[in-house]
Amino acid sequence: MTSDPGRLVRLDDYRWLIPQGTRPGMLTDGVIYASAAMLGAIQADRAHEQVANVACLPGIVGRSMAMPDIHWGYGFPIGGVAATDAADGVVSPGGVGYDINCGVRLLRTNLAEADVRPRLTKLVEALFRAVPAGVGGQGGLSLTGHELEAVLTEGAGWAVRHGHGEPADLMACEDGGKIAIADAGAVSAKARQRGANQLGTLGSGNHFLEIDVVDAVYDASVASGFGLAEGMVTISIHVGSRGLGHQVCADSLETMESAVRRYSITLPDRQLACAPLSSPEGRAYLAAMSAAANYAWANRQVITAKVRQVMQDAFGRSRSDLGLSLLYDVAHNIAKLENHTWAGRQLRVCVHRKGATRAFAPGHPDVPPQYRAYGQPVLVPGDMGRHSFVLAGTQGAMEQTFGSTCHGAGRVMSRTEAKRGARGEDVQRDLAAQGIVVRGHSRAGLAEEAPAAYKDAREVVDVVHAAGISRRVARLRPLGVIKG
Amino acid sequence: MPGHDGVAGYCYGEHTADVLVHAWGASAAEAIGQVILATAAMVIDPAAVSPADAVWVYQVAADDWIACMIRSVNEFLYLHDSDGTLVHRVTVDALPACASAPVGVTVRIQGQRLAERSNLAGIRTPAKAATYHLAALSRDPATGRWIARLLLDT
Repeated sequence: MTSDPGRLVRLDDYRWLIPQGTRPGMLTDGVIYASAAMLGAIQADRAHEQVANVACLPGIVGRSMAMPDIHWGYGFPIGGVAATDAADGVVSPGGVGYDINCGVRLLRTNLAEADVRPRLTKLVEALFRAVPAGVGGQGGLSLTGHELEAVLTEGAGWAVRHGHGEPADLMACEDGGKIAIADAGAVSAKARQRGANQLGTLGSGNHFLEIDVVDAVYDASVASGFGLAEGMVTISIHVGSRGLGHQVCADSLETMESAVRRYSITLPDRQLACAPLSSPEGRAYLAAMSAAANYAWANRQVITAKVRQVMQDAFGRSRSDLGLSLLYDVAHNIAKLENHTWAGRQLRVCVHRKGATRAFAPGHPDVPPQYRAYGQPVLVPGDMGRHSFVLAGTQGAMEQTFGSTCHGAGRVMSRTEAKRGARGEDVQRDLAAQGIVVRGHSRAGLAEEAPAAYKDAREVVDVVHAAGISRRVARLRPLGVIKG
Repeated sequence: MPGHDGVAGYCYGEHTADVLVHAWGASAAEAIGQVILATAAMVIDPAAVSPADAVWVYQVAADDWIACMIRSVNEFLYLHDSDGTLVHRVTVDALPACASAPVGVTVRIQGQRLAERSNLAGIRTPAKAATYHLAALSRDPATGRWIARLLLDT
């Protein structure tokens, strides 16, 4: 780098600039959304260097951006956002990640904590048994080749049509739970083999089911519009495209390596391998990525059906009687072709969001009609022991970040370090002392996911709210957690 | 990095959201074998895997050794996810060079399938994929040993 990569230029209290020219090849500036208190960890992690690297992508529009949950990824940092021109820009699988359409959905209920608390342990155990997770990932739906093809094409709609939900669920899902340009034919045989038995499974790592209670409302009007109220019990589901998505990414990176040479693209980081969006390689990646994204939406829909069944059985009431409706479902590892107004022009761009969430403003036509007056719901999960948040998209996001905001807490500690700091059973006991029931498939996994391994999501949310790229609506406190 | 006393081996390093693998061997192929073994050992200690229940053999060719290493590890992860491959032992031999594929390896895995184990206790989450970040594979001129480094996305 031609100047001190660690020296960020303060734009204001929540935005820090990496000027074009900080490293050779930058086509634009980089900007990191963060508080001053966060900068030390960001610079120690060297994630800011990745923001500068992404600024070198051909056809980048606007700045290379990173949200305050930024941490080191590969190619793009986690929390990275970059838009490229659909006509002459590139698409990079590193800007999406291996877990394509890892995302989260939130279910409402008409239950209060007092309804759930007496049976919380049994409820957590029932969810743990009902939703396959952890080692091996077996126990998912076993799909024929034809069925898998339909899942890749239809997304969450396939699951609804096969009895795993209701049409209203699709209306509360980003993109209706399906990206239309998906092409199942672009998904390799290996990826299909991995996905054939994993639909309806949670996987492992930082994936989870969580029972929460709304313990604070920041914006009563928007919360009401979202159907949320203080004291309401909610259920979160966090999972992605499982082994199918991982394989699609791995397959694509191999293709992109050749594409970089074919199209004479110069990159500062091999993991930013990419191809022009207009090229066969670029189109094939978008088609395969979209198919994997559809698989992830179908996955979350099938799991939703299992959760509803568990709740019906536990309370002896129908799901409609329990008010088990979907608030919204968001993707936070994805690349999408979108229309945006930038620098006074209407542009079609490919927005890469890697560990970042779409946050469209009130009035945007892609926000479901029931929420259009308030802005798109944004779901920001925290760690097991601390709060998660519901936000709303803003015009500020449209103007600054191509309608994007943070996705979660972000890690601050390696998995090895987390396991050194606590054993899984200690984590479980400490959380129980806080009234949080935790069930995991692996004690080591629980230790790796200990709250101390993550930033406090509240600090992340404070930054995006203050920067105007999304607005706080409600805060959720965990009651029960099922980890993969 | 531990010293290299003529024995192939591996160890793990720290990285915020991922796992860093260091490995070494007498040849590039042997070092790649140790990287695969390190990746497999994240799931279960190879000593705890039956050595003779199943064998998997695959070939990987690439333009350079780093790409060969990445693809070799990712192929193992595919086998683990799709066939439940658990590793007792890995043997890697170099393929002859050719114009279309300057480097390549044949990987032979001895072990057992996850579905054939009666006890799943102690089996851990596998990595998602091998990444190019910090990836390195080169010969140490001082010792003649091949040293590998790989970051696994977890």
